[in-house]
Amino acid sequence: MSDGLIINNLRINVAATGNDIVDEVTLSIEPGRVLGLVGESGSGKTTVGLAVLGHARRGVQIEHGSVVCGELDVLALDDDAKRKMRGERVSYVPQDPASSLNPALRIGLQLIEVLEAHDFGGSDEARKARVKEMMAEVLLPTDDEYLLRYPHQLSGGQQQRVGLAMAFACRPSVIVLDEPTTGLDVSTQEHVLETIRALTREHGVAALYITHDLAVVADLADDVAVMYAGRIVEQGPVREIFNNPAHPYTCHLVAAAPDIAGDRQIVGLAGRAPSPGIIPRILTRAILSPPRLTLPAIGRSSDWRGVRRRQANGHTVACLPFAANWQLLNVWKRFQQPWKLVSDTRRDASKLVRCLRA
Amino acid sequence: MPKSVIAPPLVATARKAGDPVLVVSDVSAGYSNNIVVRNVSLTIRKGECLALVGESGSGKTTVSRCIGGLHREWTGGITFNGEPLAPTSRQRTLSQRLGIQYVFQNPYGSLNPRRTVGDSIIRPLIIAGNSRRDSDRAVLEVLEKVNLPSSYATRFPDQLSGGERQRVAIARALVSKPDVLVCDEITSALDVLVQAAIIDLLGDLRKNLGLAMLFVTHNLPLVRSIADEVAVMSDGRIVEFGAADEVIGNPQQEYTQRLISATPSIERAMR
Repeated sequence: MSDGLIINNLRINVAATGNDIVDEVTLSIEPGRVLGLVGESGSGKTTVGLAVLGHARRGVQIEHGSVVCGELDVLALDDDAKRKMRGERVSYVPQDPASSLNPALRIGLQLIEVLEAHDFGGSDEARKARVKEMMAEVLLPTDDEYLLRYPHQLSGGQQQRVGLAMAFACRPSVIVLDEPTTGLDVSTQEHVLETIRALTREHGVAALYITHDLAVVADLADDVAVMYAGRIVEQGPVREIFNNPAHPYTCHLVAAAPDIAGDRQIVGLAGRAPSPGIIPRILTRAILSPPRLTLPAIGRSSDWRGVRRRQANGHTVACLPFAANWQLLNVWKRFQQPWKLVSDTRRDASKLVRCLRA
Repeated sequence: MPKSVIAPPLVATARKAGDPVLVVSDVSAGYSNNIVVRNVSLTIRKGECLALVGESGSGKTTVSRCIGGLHREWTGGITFNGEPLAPTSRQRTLSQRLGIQYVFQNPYGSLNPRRTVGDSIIRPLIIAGNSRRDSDRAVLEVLEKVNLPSSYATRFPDQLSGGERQRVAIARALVSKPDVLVCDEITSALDVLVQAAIIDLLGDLRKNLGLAMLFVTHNLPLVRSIADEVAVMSDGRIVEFGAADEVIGNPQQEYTQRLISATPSIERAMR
């Protein structure tokens, strides 16, 4: 019944200034697959996630592009249709389970409410049965006593599972998970990830998993899309991206991620990610003045220097203007002090090369 | 010497020679009747980093708060450079207070938003009775140590990114020339690239200044990158202690094994 999710050339901007937050975002997720959307804070991951639900935060607008879920053109729907779609066709699991559940309502009632809002099940009995079925699927107790509990009587992991039960309750075809395990302990996280994996596979749900944790993505996702400055700079199957990262930003991300297996040294970058509004100006500048700085071969530089948008094995890397000017962008964004930047960038880059070769 | 696994209470003693700067012996701590730390002993030596890891509620932050003098209710002994420490920082001597510096988890909450970076960093020196002129010079020195430009001294915290704020917090700790730096989850609010840069900085500081470090974290993968030794806490006790590579690569205790196997890994997934 589900046909996955297709996002095409999405551009989202700040309504007042027209500055883009997200641009040229194109991705697709097949039913039963999980796509990990990774990037730093401020890279536009959550903005894309919310757009899948047809939502833009206040002051932000979806300028153009399309989000298609099955036969449903999400962005073309009116408010009522969007409301009906949310939770029924496309559902959302937020980061903080504690604040996303209503503290004043018993969890059983909150689950029933979702079903009622979407006229799911037809009768009260059917809905009750569905709630128990969902509780069982997320591996929580199904007895009435448990359903009478309030959110504060549950642990963080249990609360997040209730969130998952709620998201899967109406059998959606697309689910957006926005850092659902941040703040959970690893053993709790392990159970939540297993639940997500099982539910998406069994029910053929296309899942967009937003996170900055690369290890979680490697563990859970089938595909990865890397976001930087509101653009997808690289995407492809998980193995392909982690084994052969082509874009320098992806190389940096992988090199910075500590790993429990393997004793490689992590390499970082100072500074901050670019904020919306500063991007277009820098981009223009970057295109007008070709970068004089050259990172001495990150990974294999010849691979990304001449790349086009498409590569083999379903692996896609940002086209030349963006990839080549990435360094300049990075210089601007991270240091805002060009003189210092040169030496730092060089130092970081040579360390990176050493670590990737090791 | 291989990692020592003794029945609890486990004594975490450093393997390598080096002067012990901080010795925690048999410390138990709690909140009113609720005991959350039981008979913890650790030794931190000059230039070494000990990581204290565990899940939430394991008592790791309480241990670091006892060391920092931020927690009142504890028993046992903590010595700093051979001298016993009083429970709270108020009762400790000035040199003891300056010698143990604490960096907090949240860089957004730990800097006074109404003070410039320079004023925040200079505070401990002024309180310690230094002259303003000497202190100003010291501020520029520590800013350089944490790789921030001197112009940042006149900025306010809200003009800085999370990673830059954490650098300022580290600079503020360094300005009193401490022997021990207690870092409580200092990278958990930061992005991976920034986290790696901070870890890099801490490594340099340790090497160049001979700082001893207690690095409290729930992030096991990070331990290998920063620590020489690791103590794993569960339920208020140290359940395993040893060289970081040994404990992470070849854990002996079931609890540590479970923790490690539950931690997602790129390398493992790509195999």
